[in-house]
Amino acid sequence: MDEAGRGSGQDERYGAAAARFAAAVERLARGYEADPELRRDLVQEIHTALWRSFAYFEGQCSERSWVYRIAHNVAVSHLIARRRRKPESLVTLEELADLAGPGDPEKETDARRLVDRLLATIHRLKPADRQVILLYLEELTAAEIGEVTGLSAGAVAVRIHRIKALLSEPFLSGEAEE
Amino acid sequence: MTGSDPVIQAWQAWAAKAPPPALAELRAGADRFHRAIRLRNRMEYGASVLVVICFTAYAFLLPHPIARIGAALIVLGTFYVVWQLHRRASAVDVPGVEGALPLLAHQRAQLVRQRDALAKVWLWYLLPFAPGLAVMMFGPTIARDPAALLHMGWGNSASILFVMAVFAGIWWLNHRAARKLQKAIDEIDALRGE
Repeated sequence: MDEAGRGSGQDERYGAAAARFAAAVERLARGYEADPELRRDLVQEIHTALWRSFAYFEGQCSERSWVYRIAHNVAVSHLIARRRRKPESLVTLEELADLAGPGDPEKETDARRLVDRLLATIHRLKPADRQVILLYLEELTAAEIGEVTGLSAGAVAVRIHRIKALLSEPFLSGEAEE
Repeated sequence: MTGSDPVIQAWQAWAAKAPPPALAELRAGADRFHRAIRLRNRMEYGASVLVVICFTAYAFLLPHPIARIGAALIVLGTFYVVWQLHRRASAVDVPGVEGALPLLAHQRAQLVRQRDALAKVWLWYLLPFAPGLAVMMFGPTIARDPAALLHMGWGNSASILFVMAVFAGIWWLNHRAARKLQKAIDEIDALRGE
């Protein structure tokens, strides 16, 4: 199907979704790409895929699930291509003992330090776990996370349990003490 | 999950007002992609047109009728290959698939499609040319004297070896590319924990 022949209202539907999810897309890209230049490209790539996808969106799932599926598809492709160029060791949530340590406590606010530690942790995760934690942080329900990732309800529940444990007491009390 | 969770709050506070890119930028990016695909397809189909023109001419101009039949078979084989290229290896948008399939499944499906096309290149890209080439190269000799096949000169033998080497080279390159794609598929499976 050519560009001109695609579904009417594509621009409007994309525009509405982009306005609603632009910040989430930025955060998602940050979870997949630490380099600011490459991250800008990734965000652009995700928006291009989203715009094209809205020619075909006919309510197959919720708009929110659709946007996150497209965005994660593009981001995971980006991650796989980058790993092929520069292999790096990734771990599962189960293998993760705790969150990454703070970078430079002198220069960082508590909230900034929290996000930086979170990001450093996310960047170490394998894609399946990375998807779940990023979606959890966007406050998707377990059912929605399953819908987006294709993971079973049990697999999502196990991962969320692990994420909650990681993000709870040791982390927060560590932030409070510093 | 709760919005009052300080970790979630801190996470969502970042990039809370990020503006989406302009539609014009997205259109330009998508157009670049389509231009690249269109260019590749034009090259593929252009080469096929040249083959069809050359071998159609042979089908009328070659002195030996069996060689003319061989040229006509190559033209038919080319049409078949073009159809298969379009069917198996073209870059087409699949409506709804990007969003309808779970994560990674779309990427994996694309890789599997390309791998299968490359792995079976002998079937749809090489084999269709074989009858025409064989008839063109051996037909006239067999028609004259089948025993002459055993006493071909260096020139004919070298031509046959060259054609076989080209076929083997094409098969080997595609087989190697298919193996690389399989590796990428295995990487995805490993990442999905399968």
